[in-house]
Amino acid sequence: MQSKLWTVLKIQFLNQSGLNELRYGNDKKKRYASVAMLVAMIVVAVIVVGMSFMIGIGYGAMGMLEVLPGFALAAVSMITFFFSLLKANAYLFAFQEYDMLMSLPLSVKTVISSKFIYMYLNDLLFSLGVMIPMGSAYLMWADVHSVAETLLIVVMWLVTALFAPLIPMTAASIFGALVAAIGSKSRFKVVIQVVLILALMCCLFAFNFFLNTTGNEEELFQKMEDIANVTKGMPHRFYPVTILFDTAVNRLKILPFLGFIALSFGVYYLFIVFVERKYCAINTALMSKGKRAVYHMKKQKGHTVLGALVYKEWRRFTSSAPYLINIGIGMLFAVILSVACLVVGRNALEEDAQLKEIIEFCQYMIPFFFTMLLSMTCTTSVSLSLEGKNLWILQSLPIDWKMILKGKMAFNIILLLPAALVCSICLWITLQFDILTFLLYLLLSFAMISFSTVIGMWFNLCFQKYQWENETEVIKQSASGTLGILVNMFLELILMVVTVALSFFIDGRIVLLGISVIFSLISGGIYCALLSGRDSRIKVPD
Amino acid sequence: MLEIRNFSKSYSNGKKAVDNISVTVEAGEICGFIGHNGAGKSTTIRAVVGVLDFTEGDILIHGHSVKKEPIECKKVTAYIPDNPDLYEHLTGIQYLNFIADIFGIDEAVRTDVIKKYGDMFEITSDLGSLISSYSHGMKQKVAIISALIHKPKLLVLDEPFVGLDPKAALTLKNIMRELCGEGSAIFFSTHVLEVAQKLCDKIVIIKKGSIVAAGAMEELVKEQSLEDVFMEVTENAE
Repeated sequence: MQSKLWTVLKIQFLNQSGLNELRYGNDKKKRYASVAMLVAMIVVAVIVVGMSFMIGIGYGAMGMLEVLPGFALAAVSMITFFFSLLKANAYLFAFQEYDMLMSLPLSVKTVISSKFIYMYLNDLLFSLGVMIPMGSAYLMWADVHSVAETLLIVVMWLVTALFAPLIPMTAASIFGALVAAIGSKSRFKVVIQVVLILALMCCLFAFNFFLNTTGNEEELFQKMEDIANVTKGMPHRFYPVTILFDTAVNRLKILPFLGFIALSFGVYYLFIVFVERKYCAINTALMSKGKRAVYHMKKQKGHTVLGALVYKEWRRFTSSAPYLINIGIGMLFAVILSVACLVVGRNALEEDAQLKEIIEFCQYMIPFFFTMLLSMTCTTSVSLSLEGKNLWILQSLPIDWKMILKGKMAFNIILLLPAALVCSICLWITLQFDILTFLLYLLLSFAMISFSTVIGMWFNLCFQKYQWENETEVIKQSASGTLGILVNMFLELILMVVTVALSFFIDGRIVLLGISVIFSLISGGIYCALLSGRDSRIKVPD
Repeated sequence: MLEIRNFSKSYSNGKKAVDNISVTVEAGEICGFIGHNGAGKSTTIRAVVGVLDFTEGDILIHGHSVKKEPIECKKVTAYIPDNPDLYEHLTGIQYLNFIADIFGIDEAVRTDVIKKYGDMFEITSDLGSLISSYSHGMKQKVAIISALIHKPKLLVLDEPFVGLDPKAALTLKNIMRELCGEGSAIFFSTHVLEVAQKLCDKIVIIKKGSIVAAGAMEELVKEQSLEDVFMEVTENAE
């Protein structure tokens, strides 16, 4: 099994990583895209490593070193769980090469393991990027007395970094398997999958909120030591496994450390054994598409060309769980949060004068937080690449590439505008702003949505990727998809800081208006640039 | 109707997939395009329908250049690829309506055309199901109906009979003859030489990117079978 597993893993890596494109590809654009993706990953890695190290140093400086191991493990586990939840289903079940792999003389265990391990290797990079710098910071502040102790701490941090993703990934995969199993029995597989995953995420956020708000408030903010105590308890309460790692590193105990390793591996192994039994049945059910009742021909209705293209995009978006969850999550969170604000916020504001002051101070930050969430729903950064093998259809139709791009951009804007409207109205009612501020929120939302739409389209035109086995390769791992989310997110954060800083000197509403106008103009400029230029911006795969 | 003039296509690695070929297909003609695997048939076909970029030579459809006026060319052309990768998340009827919308086909006309060809291919009752639930042959049938929806002046098909059941293959052949009778031109590639011999007015044989034989079927084949001619010219060609 080992050699076969290694062979499948190697092929999977060569097929999906873009390494072969770099080594053997002749297409310069594809090679540039691979290099750009590599550069983007390095930049993200540097940011993660730098931030982790600084957090570690901060914990040490505040005398909270004991909390650091548990915090590091909890942070890695939480983020790994969150991201695995979004991709586990697409990786493990009903993937494109399922038939090919299952027809080979490979055991089901090998197939599942290869998929799981490939997903693990992706998450491992993040785990190492967080755990190693935090471990280094821990070592800088730790009170160690001998080389042996130092060595033991280093080994514990390193080995834990290797095992840290296993439990959260397994938990996410179990949930993925359950969702897949439940969904497989229904015609509405996508809807069920999306609703269940979102429900779990909402429960987790609610649980986190519950943990953060329980306890004595006076105790919370009395002294620095109290904060340390409260913070110390947090990872343990949220993710009890951290107790093992905390105890192992802080007290240099081998047994809890081995316990953590055994638990991580055991959970993973049990998952493989559990899924192995039902793997074929789940996949068969997921991949078999039920036919509807007999169709009777009736008079058909027509749309405009743009309408037809937008409708096609809508069907694409809503018929794929990975696409809907990964790209739509920002918009969904924005709407859910704004409605939650409306439900809980108004009473809290009326009762708490201090909270009202804080809100008034933050009133020019809040719209950026929501536009940041909305901008994360950037379908244009992936929708062109998602055409994949269907690209020939658009290319052979009597429409030019400008119309294709217009259809994709129009869909993103049509999708986000109602959400922006809901967010702005909810915030307006909750925070009781004047009508001018409400209109500015709307204007800003429109400007930032337009910007994220055109910049996403630009990225996808620069980094077109039509050859993929699994759509998550485009949605989660492509250069354009990553840039679409990261650039919009960082831009909104920068604008948030700039707005707050400027609002000390001039009326914040003028700053909002200025930013809205500037980004509307930039968006207009990029839109014109997108639709002008060469005859064909869509690169035809040879 | 279709005029391929000195068309060549080289890929980025420098390899020449098609080298200086010229083909003419008149209105009302069926032209078969045959050759070994990798001979350059699909490359030529994809360039004709505007899916593949090219720099050398030109391709004219109904007097319009594919390079300079691609939209005008596509308005009168229909293409059926060898592998019908359709939008799997759409139902058959949604896909056909999408194509009809792009071509601006009147609601009543599209309803009649879909009904007519849907019944001919015995797929009307399945049009409400998702394309992802279709077999290869069913997808091929939907692709054929979508190609016929705007009554194309030039129908370009790449291996159209692969995956079709015998009855559907016969239906397609009848439709091809019917279209030619109405003045359309058909350019298609195939490996089924018996079908090509029975159906085509003209044959073009391609080997390693170059044309090794071309002409009217009767003049080319004479007393032989197309299979004999094909074997002879492809083995004798450099």
